[in-house]
Amino acid sequence: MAVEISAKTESSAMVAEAANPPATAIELTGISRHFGEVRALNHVDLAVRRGEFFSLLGPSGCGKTTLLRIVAGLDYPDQGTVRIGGQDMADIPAHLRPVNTVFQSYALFPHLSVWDNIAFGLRMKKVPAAAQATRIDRVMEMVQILPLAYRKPSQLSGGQKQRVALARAIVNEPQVLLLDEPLGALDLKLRKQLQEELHRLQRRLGITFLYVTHDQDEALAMSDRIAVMNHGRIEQMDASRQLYEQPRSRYVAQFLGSCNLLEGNLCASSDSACEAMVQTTVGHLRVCLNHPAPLGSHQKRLTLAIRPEKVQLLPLNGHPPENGVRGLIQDLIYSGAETTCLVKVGEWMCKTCSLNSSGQHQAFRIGQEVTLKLPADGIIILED
Amino acid sequence: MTRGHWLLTLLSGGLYTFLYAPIVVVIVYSFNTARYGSGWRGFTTKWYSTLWNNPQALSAAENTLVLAVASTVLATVLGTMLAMGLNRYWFPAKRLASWLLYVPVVIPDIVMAVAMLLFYALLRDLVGLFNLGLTTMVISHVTFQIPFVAIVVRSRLFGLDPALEEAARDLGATPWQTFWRVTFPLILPGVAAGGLLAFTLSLDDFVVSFFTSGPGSTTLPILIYSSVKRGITPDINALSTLIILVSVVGTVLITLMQRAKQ
Repeated sequence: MAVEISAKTESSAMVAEAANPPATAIELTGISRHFGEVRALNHVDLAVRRGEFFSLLGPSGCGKTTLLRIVAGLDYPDQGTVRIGGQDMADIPAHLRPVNTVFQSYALFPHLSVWDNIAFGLRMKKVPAAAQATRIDRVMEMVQILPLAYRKPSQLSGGQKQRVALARAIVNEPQVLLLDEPLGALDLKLRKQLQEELHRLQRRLGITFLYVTHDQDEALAMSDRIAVMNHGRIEQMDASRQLYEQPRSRYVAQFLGSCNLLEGNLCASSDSACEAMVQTTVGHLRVCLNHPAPLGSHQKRLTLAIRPEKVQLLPLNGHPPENGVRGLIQDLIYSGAETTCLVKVGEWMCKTCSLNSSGQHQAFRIGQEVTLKLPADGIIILED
Repeated sequence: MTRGHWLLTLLSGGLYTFLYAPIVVVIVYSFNTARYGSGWRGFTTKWYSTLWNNPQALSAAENTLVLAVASTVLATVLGTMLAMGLNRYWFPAKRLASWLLYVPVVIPDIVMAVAMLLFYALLRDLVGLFNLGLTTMVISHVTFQIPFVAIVVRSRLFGLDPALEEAARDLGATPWQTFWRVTFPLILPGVAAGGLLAFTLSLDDFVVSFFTSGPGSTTLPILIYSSVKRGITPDINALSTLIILVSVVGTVLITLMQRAKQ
């Protein structure tokens, strides 16, 4: 059923897009924020589309929470403008903004029952009592907390508190829901379950989600688009798949998943053929480019990246394949669904990994000499 | 049981006797029939009825209550506001302001009282107001009560998650609504405990009241003091017993409210 609804919202969104320019839920331009000497945000530009699940991803202290608080109106930028639904928020205080927040600490009112917590926003907006009750019942059912209505927050488990915090926010039907590491305090299993629920809920409600997290798996699993942040700047902003497959910088490549990095010099490139030859410490490698891009002059230093699951492990026999290098297996790490293999090629340590169901690693053992194939279309050229 | 344990028990027993025996004596003698001397002549409650028919005592009791209630209300409101301000906002010399809060707590009452007396005299010369009486007493009491209220409320505010007020604003509450619907209910145990503390302090105060009182504003502690100069009478014992009772009830309530914190 959820799938049906999502398909419908997607198609209607496409119709809307065809008619008008794409609707923007949040538009941030040139946002800067300093705390004393510390630059928390440095000229951040960001546009979140209506109905999108958008994540701000980065380590702690990268400015992602500050950015969220600025959108909520709980903090103010030193420079820059915030627009929500096309409206400038400069003079609009937090309590008048069409957004609601799910706080990291949940921030449930300890002196109020679950019901009164959820009713809080509706009472502030003076929604008639009958309408309040209907709306509260509906969201409580949606997040499965109906039996908890008369409990106090102190009588709830972590997962239940999380659901109440979510219900308290979405009952107000905000234009944008802001979520500040909402699953950070939960254990792994519950976190996975709530990730799926949040994802379904977002599709069902069609509300724009702006989601702050430091967990890359969480961001990849749930988001339509992700902005990776570092030191108060956005490093890269793309769709989840794009971000993982085509990271532009070392930082993004290493923050999202693991990555093998390799330094090299450009030997030859042709703008039309979408490929380049790079001389590296492990030999010459051919690199396919997704789209033609001027790479710069001959002998330019480049950093190449290749994901462990793109590297192929082959036995030594036979003809060496294209982009094949010889190495020695240092370690094999079995972790249930997949096996990770560390291969030493000269001074370079390369990580490969494959699903155990593929059977690729089963023929190998530690100390064995192997051929690593670095497929030309699996190699990414980074900008730094 | 060891010998050390016995000694310790004895010592503690002695200490508690020293602390509480005088109070017990006052309470016991308030029920003694004998008007003079220390001999026990039988049980009576007549000194309590004597007190009830003593217009001086009644008017002193009224003054004491009016003073305590008025000063407590003012001090609780001002002390809570002070605690909020110190907790929320940054301003130049904030640290100094926090330290100054403790000065009235540690300064000797007598110094405070003399300072007040001088200050009112000075103000009278300048503006002609501030004749000594109940009003000056209320102002003086508020002055020494504020720090106690502010310190108790501030400790409660420290334990408050700032995200709670942000959540209220985020859900559409104005700053005023946020205070009354979220902040105040959560710091109420602290405010009430601070208020009760201020109330008992005002009730018991002699030194500051004595120095800042005027004609017709005699309070119970002042009445007791002036009566005692003519010798201790059983009705003063009865009066003291009643004051002890009110103070004890107040202290028990404060303790209960502090416990409600957890």
